[in-house]
Parts: sequence; structure tokens; C-alpha cells
Amino acid sequence: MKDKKSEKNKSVNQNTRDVFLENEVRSNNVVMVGMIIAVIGILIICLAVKVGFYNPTKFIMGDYMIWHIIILLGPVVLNLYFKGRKPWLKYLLIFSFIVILAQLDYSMTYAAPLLIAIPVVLSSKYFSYKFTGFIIVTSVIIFFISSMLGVTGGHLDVNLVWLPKGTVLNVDGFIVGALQNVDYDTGLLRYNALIYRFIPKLIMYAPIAVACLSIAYTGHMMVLKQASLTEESVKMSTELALASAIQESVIPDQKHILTGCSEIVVDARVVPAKEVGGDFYDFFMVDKDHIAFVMADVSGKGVPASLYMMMARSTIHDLALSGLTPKEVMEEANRRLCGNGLNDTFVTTWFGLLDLTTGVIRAVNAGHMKPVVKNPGGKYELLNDKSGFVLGGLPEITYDEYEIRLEPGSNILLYTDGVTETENPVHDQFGVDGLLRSLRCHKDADLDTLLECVYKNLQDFAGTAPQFDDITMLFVRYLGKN
Amino acid sequence: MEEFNIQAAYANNTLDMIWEGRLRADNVSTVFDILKQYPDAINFIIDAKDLEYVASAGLGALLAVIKASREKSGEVTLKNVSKLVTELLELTGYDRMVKCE
Repeated sequence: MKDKKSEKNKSVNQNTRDVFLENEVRSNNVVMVGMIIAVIGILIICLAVKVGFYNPTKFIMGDYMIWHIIILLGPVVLNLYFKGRKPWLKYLLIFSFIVILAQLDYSMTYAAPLLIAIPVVLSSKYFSYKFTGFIIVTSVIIFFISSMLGVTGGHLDVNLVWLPKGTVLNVDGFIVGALQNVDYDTGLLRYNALIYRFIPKLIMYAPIAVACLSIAYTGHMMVLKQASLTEESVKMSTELALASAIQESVIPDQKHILTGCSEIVVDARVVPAKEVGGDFYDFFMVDKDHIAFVMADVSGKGVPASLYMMMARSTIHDLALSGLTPKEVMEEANRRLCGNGLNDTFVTTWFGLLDLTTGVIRAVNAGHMKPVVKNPGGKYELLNDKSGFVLGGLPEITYDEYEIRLEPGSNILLYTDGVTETENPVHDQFGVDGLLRSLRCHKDADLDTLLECVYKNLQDFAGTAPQFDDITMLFVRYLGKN
Repeated sequence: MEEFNIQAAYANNTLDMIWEGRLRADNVSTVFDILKQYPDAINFIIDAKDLEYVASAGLGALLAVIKASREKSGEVTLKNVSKLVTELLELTGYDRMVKCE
């Protein structure tokens, strides 16, 4: 038990790791695209400086252009080479991006206040709140350094320059140009940059950082939840496949049951609407002269119906083998099924006991579809039998037993409402008439061909409409005693 | 999900309902929700004028209504039932468990 739990946890962890790895690869690519855009941006700025369109007092970037491009494009090339699948790539990509953005911040100073937010926003895509937290702290430290160095090294912010009373500026164009020949206190300038530029920048940065941290955390938790749901879904599919196999295993083995029985030929088709269904058929020798047939349809669908089906099948099967009459079998089965405490589940059932020597069937119909019978030389007709209440509905119900005699060469078809209630896209039903028409077209065919033809006609009728109910058909041909 | 609507009015231990549309497994829970809302109901009247189709799961819901009424010696009455639904009730023996008007 413990081992199984441990296996499951391992599996969930593996799934989670796979999802995070896939996300990391995609995020690396997103950062890579951001870096390529940054390279283009830097090239445009440098070009603008070169042609004089943009003219900062100091612009260090242009002097080291080649290094900036190497710092940016190096990780891009590595990311492409390793296809984003190395754990250190995200650190390399984001860190080099921070360095270049800090360099831009150093050069452009007040002109680009939100550069600091770019790495943090990108880091949230990794859905790792620890990584985003690390990037938040790293960005603040590096941008603090770049801001402080940029005060004197980058584009001068004239608003931060303190001049003594009476200072005369000789302005000819931008004010910043007039300050080039003026002595001012750079220590005070750095202090002003901290108070009036870096701290307000941090105040802007804080809500963005918190939001990114929240996105990373939420994304992380969603991935964990999704992985868990996926695991549950896989487990459910496996269990459903197993349940389906168990259901198939109770389908009667024709060759085994009818060995030595030359009086009848049997063939069947089952097409469940879901992995497991509530329809079932059964046939088995009660004694050397009698064979029992059951065709049933449990209300509802899916796993609950399939579990009820297994219970109903074994109840009827066991009672029939105990030598009871069909009426007694059905009444006792009804009482037993009513005792299960289920309020809304029942099973419509047709139960018949065929005397192989005489061809007489003693049958009980508990709310099930009326059988279709064809006598030799005749045509397929609906057997207008008397139907009682469904099985498993109310415990006090009694059933009427009736008899039909099959002549040698007769066919009887038992089926569920999945056949007659097959719908086309405009909700018309195939109906009993459709079934009779289909059978009458191929009246002399063997049972397998007949079943195939009916199923083909059902498919043609349904067209694009989905199959809502299980489809089950059991054909019996009575050949008579030798 | 198939369209199925249910309207209910409760008075004097009688739950008067209108069932409309196609009652199938995927919408049958609406019937059980109504039954839970009125646990004291003894008699049930269902107007099925616009009830187009009832799947087996829908008959299961009707069975729950029948059981709820029988426990308290009440009765279930179906009104204005279409030919298709009447045939289904006859086939499954429900016509003998409810009063059809």
C-alpha cells in the first residue's frame, strides 16, 4: 500500500517536473525574444545618437556596442544551441538581460525609469516564485549600482543639479549643455538621484514586483494542480479500461456454452456508448434441455450503470440456475435488487427460458423492449408481449409469465433501446419501424450478416449525431431437435 | 448538455411541476434538486406537455418521484403526456405506477 502511494507520488512529481521543464523552455524562448528586441532597440538608439537625432550629454553605450551585443547575443546563441533545455540557461539569459538593461539605465538615466521592471516581468513566466524573488532582489541591487554610477557617467538629469545662488548659465540650446562648463557638487547630485529618482523608481517598481511574484506563485500552484488532475485522469482512464475488460469478460462464451447444443445458433453485438455500459445480455444452459436468455438495460450510463449491471446479471444468473420458473426468477431478482438502497436505478429485463426439444419459450418482460420474431416463411414482427414494471424499481411488483413457440428455423431478436432510440442530428429516432425495415431487407441472411446490416443501417441513420446509449443485440435462431 | 427545464410550485403537500425538453442522464440532476427542495411533498403532478423525450436516466428520476410519493401514500399524476412518452411509459410498466390524465 505504502509502495503504491510512493509510486503515485513519484509519478505526480515526474509529471510536474515535465510540465515545469516544458514551461521553462518556452520561457527561455520568450526571454530570448525579449533580448533580441533589446539588441534591435540598442542598435536604433546608437544609430539615433550617431546621426545626431538623439544627443545625450554622455552616451557610453555607443563606445562598447560590440560588448553589449555579445552579452545579449551570447546567451541567445546558447539557448538556441541547447534548445532551452539546460537548467542554468534561465539564470544566464535573465542575468545578462539585467546587465544590459542596467547599462541602458546607466546611460539613459531618467529617460527610461521602468527598465528595472522588464526582467521581473519576464521572470514571472517561469512560474517559480523563488526565481522571481531572486530576480527582484538582483535587479534592485544592479540597478542601484547603475543608477548611482549613471549620475555622473550617463545622461545628466538637470533637475537634480544643485547650483549656488547667483550662478549664471550660458544657455545655447538644451539646458544640459550649459552645465558642461559649470562646477557642481556631484556628491549632492548622487544624493538627489537616490532620493528623487531611484526611490520613486522603486515605489513604481514595488507593485509590479509584487504582481509578478503573485503571477509566478499562482502559476506554480496551477501547474501543480493541473499535474495532479492529469494524474487522476490517467488513473481513471486505466481503471475504466480495466472495468471495460472485466465487463467484456462476462460476455457469454458462445463456443463453450453451446458445445454439443445443435438446436440453436446465437450471435450478438454490443457497442457501448462509453468505456463501460449498463446493457448486458446473457445466455446459459440451465439443464440439458433448457437454455436461458437475458437481455437487459440498466438506467443511466457509465460506471454506476456498469456496476449495477454486474450485480443484476449475477443475481438473475444465479436464480435461474437454482431451478426457479421465469416468473419466480424475476420476482426474486426484483426483490433483491430493490434492497440495494438505490433510489433511482433500475434495469429493464427480458428473461426467457427456451425448451430446446419443443421450441417453447417461457418468458417474462420487465419493462424491456419487445422482442422481434420471425417464423419460417414469415416476416419479422414485433412480439406484442405483456410488459411488467422494470426490475429493481418497487419490491412489491409481480410479473406475468407468457409462452411463445418457435418453429424450427425461427429467429428471435432481443435488443436494447439503444437500437430503436438511435437518433439522427435532428432528433428523429430509428424506432421499431426502422429496425423491422432493416431486418426485413435481409430476412434470409445469416445472423452475423443480419446484425451487421442492422448496425450499418443504424450508423447511416445517425449520421453525425453522437451515440448516447449503449447498443446491444442478441440474435437466436432455433433449429429444432435434429 | 441537452435542454431540459423544470418549473415547480408547492402547496398543500403537492408539488406541481412542469417538465420541458429532453430529460437525459446529463440533466437529470435538476429533478433530484427539486425533490430535495421539497422533502415534505406527498403528491406530485407533472405537466409533460412539452416533454419531448425521456431517457432511461429520466425514468430513474421518475422512479424516485414515485418512491417519494409511495412512502407517504401519495400519488403521482402525469398530465398532457405526448404519444412518444406514453409509449415509453407503457413499455416500461410506468403507466401502472402513475396516474395519466
